[in-house]
Amino acid sequence: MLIVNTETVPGRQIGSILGIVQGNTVRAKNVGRDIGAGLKNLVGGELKGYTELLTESRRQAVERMIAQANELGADAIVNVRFSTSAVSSGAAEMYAYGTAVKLLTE
Amino acid sequence: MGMFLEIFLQCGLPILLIIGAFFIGTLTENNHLKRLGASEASLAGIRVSTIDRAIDFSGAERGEIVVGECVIATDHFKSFIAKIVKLVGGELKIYRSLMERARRQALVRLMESAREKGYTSVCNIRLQTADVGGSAATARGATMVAVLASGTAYREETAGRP
Repeated sequence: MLIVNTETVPGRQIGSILGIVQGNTVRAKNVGRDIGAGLKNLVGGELKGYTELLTESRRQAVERMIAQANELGADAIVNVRFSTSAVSSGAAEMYAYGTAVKLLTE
Repeated sequence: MGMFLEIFLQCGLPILLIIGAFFIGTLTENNHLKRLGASEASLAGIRVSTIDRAIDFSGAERGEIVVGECVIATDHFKSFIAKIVKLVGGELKIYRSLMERARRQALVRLMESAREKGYTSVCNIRLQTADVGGSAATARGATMVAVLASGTAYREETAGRP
């Protein structure tokens, strides 16, 4: 599965568009991370726990998106975008979406 | 003596926290900027752009999405200064540097990820902010920023170029 955020796959032509595929996840950080973040807010600096949380969420959302594309029998997902929203206090949603396409054989 | 202790707890401790945060926060920021500078210098060979297609595409490999993330917090001293500035309004310069650090760090991670995978260029780079803390964190007065950078990495054609 080729995943790009450009409109086309470099060097390949799109044969047919199969539709939008998407994956999302809503995750909350645990209390330990929250306390760590509270301390970091005192002295500043990177919140490694939150960065990891963001990475995990993004990976999971992308995996779910790939699973959908596989079901459709796609070769690639183009124009992939990420979006986030705060669902409730302390929980955030990561949403990945793109267009599943079938590529022309070279 | 009891009164002195009370005055210390009421006024001295918050001030001490702000002063402590100023020194540690400035040290952290300077170290971060130094690390960023070094990383960016070592990544100078990776060509990045916001153009939505792969320029000088070599045809050797297909593109692949690469991402970089960073969540960063401000320090207590800066949020204190920000509170004062907010009374009169105007530009919050101290927060601008926070945003800049987060974006630069996310971009550095994106470029490092592209280099690890053996790519030479990244096109169609998008930078966006995410809400990780949620409204609860903002209500507590915690100021943090999360940046997500994404792009398509590919191998650039170098043959025939000086």
